[in-house]
Amino acid sequence: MTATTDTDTDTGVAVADDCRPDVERIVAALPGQDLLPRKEGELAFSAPWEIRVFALAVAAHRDGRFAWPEFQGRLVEAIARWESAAPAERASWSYYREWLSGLEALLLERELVDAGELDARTDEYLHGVRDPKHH
Amino acid sequence: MTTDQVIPVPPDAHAAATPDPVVVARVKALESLLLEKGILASETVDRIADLYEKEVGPRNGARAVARAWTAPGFKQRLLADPVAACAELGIGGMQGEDMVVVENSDDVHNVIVCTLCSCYPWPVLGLPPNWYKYPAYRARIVKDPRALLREEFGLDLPAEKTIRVWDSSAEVRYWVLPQQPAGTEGMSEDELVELITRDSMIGTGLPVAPGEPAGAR
Repeated sequence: MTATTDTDTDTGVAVADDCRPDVERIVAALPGQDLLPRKEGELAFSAPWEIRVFALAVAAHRDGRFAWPEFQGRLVEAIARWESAAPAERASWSYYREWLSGLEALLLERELVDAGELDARTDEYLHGVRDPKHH
Repeated sequence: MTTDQVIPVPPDAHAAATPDPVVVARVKALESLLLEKGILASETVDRIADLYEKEVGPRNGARAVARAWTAPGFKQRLLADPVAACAELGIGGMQGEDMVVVENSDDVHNVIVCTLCSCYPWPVLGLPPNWYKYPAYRARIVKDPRALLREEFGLDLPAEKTIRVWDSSAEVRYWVLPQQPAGTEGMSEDELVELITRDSMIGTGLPVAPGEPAGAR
């Protein structure tokens, strides 16, 4: 694809690449490299939510909410939990589902997010209160 | 726990991820809470997501368009039943929504929008660009598409060409089959893919013609 397809026409500003080296360093150090979905060496995502949850964790780290190794530790724990779960609970595997679970654990522990609030908000999205059938 | 610990690959590690509505809702909930509380800035999240959005991205659509240009039979199937035709190329992920492909011709130029919010054929085109979600685009593309395309996208369509604007909804996602640029008839499917931009499938741009600076026309 050409570079021009990625310009943000509203602001006239091309998508900033300034955070790329940082993000790539982070990606290179992710736990479970064998498990990390990749295509031609680049991270591969199979759905938009995976990119969003990836970006949330990296953004929170970049904004100084936690040190990256702290998140890595939670991710490792989440993956390990999946691996030691009963076979019935291991019917499906998703790297980014474990990513979400690790991120949630860290944000709750830091009291940046409240568990009850998160459940309630999830329910709202799930039942179309906030996001009526779109996206 | 160390971060360089080697984790064995689960047997089904590379199975296709099935979109779980609860997980999708939870990610949205988490993002909305973090932004609301000011814990994260939406620009930071967008900037990082932008680095990778092409991965899910418009390449799927470009493959389908290049195939349609080179295989008339596929083009017929793509116009008749886009979901089934895309499935032939291994492009899936639509969750019950229908997909309609609208074909550009010498007389008609098509462009898509979602006036209500930001419905978008993401399995084919990836995540929508930010401007697609902005009210400025959503309102003006309906009211004055010709001027908007010329002024904001540098796409100056001849006056005699009809512009059709397709409003997506939760049920139907439209996307555009652009015209093959003149002089590319001998090119292979792989070469053609490189000419097909995201914007050409939204209708706010045209495919890149060979030898032409990107984004021209």
